[in-house]
Amino acid sequence: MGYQAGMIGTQLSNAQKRDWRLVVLAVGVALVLLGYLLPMYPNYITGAQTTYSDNSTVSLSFPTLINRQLYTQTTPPKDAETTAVSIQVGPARYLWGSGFGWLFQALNTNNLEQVASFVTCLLIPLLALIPAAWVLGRAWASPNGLCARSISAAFSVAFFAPAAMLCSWLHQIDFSGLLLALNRPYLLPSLGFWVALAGSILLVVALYGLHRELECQAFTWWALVAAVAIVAWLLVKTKPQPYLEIWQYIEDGIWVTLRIVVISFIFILIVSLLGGLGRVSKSPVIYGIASLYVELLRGIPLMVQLLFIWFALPQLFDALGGLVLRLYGLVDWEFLSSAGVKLQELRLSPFTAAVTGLTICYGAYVSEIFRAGISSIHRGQMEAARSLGMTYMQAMRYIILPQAVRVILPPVGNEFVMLLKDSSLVSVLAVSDLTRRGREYMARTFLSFETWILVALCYLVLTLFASRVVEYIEARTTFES
Amino acid sequence: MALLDVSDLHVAYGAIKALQGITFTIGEGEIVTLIGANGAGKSTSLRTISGLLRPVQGSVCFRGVDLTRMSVDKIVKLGISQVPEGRQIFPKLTVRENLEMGAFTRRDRNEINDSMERVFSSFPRLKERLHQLGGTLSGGEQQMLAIGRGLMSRPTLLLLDEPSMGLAPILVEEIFSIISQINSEGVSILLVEQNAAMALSVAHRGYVLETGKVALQGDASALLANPQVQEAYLGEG
Repeated sequence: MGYQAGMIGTQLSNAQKRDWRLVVLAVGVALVLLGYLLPMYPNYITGAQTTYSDNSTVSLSFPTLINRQLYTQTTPPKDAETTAVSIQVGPARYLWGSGFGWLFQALNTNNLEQVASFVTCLLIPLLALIPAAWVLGRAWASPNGLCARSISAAFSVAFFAPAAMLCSWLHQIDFSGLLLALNRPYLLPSLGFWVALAGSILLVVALYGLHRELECQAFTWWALVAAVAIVAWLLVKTKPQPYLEIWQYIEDGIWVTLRIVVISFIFILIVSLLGGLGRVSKSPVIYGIASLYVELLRGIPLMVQLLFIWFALPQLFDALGGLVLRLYGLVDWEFLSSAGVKLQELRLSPFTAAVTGLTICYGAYVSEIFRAGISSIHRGQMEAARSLGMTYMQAMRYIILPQAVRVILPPVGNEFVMLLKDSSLVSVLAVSDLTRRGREYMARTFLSFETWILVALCYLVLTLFASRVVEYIEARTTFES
Repeated sequence: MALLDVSDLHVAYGAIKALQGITFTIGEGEIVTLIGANGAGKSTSLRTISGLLRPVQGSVCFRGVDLTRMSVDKIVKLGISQVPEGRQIFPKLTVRENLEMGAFTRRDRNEINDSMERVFSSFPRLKERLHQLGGTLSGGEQQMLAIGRGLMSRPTLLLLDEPSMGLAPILVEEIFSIISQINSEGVSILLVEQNAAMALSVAHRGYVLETGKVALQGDASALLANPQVQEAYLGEG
């Protein structure tokens, strides 16, 4: 639609002001505000009492509960067994039950940091209204019309509003008791919640529409990275039991994972440069070896390769050492004896095995990317370079590879992100990476949900961050061409 | 002795025989053109001379030195420079860098700068575009750049592969007049062309190739007047 293009930078006509996206946006803003005035959570857990086998009891009340601490876990460690947990649910008075009421109550408590996550969740939809209202205001009143950047910003924030609504509900009913709570009709959110949720979804739809139509800058995905990191941080900060403990346990695993990935990646680049050059080589021997490597290694699952290197390779070394020793018996050269014994005793450390496995497997995949990148450069470039007096290797080094890098870089970046995720497989080799640490912690405490959600968030922050960096590099290289 | 002697050259791509025994010579200071239809073996001959292809049989001698076993970069150092088909300038390098790449085999900065000035006197337009990326030039300018780059190695023999390809007629005339001018400065030229009329008008001698063999040969003016050539390649008669 041609007339839409005029919406940025110039005053909007009356017809443009009635554009459906702007109308939907206005309705969305109104619905969110309305929803926060209506009863949102009409009932809430007023208190919980845990009874122990020694007849002592521990009682908790709002807002400690709202912080979705398990009634059984918030108590100071006791030797006694838990015998009963009773929960009292009471109705929230009309005004207190509304979104603003909940927010007011939560903000008015003495221990604000305990309810920080709940407050954040309730605040995000309201915060999303500010840029949305700004966009509306510009559309209807500004002589300069819309501004692409404000639409991008509003969309990025609005994106999180529905998610935050759902999170605030989960806070209210206690995450761990989700299924339990769903059976209690009185804990279901009421009208105000659904109205605000619908309003926030409308915000997203309208802003997405504007965003698409006006071809604004891409969604600021960095906001997603930040959001995931903030969620993880909130979990650790507001619910130290057990998240802080889990974090402290798995933290060093993150560094092990990163070290494995970065070191493997350097080796992968070297291997695949050689592999890629081999695959375009005219020499049938080099081409054959490179192709065999690529075809074989891509046909075996990474997990099997890792297991082979870890469990089967020592046997191979052992057999080879035995062979060398037998040779020693025949020819009686002193160095053969020590070499044979060394070979028999050779064991890769878990870390070396992990790096070797990842390098060999990913080297095969990335070799193909290198080959494709080199082949994508017109054959004439090689001939032109050769006819200027360069040798084959010089032409590769100065003419072909620098041009191929632009083609190779984006897919190799994606492989890096894949590698980051697949590195979790090395946990089977007794490498204490992030996944392994998570498994160890879970085996100790049986807190499967909490452990894996935090591990998943850690991976997510790493991979999202890496993807953003890859995208940035990609944008830079394509811009230059 | 001729500058370049090609005798009984056979070249094959796998099972496909592209050249089936062609013989021709280029004298010192001459422009010789190879004309013919698609697939006649024009570019193949040229690429064999520059060493990109290896002959099955026959020989290529440059001032008495056999080139058939020599690698491409050594051939360049002997003084043969090829301007490849489709120009193949380096798109991500500036005009200046492209030209410097042409002097890859040379080390003396002053001499290289002299050569560059001479290229600019032939192609003043390149000087105006000195810091522009090669890929952003127009087709004609890219062809000028490709020829200029070929001249930067100070060749005694310049191999031109279809310099008129994809260019507007007015640009083709400009390019060909520059080719004559370069030749008058003492560079021998082997010109491969589909545009037979244009090629024969600047060349001294010509060879007509048909399916890997020399069908006709002679002075350019004689070939231009030849009724067979006129019918087959000049669209006349």
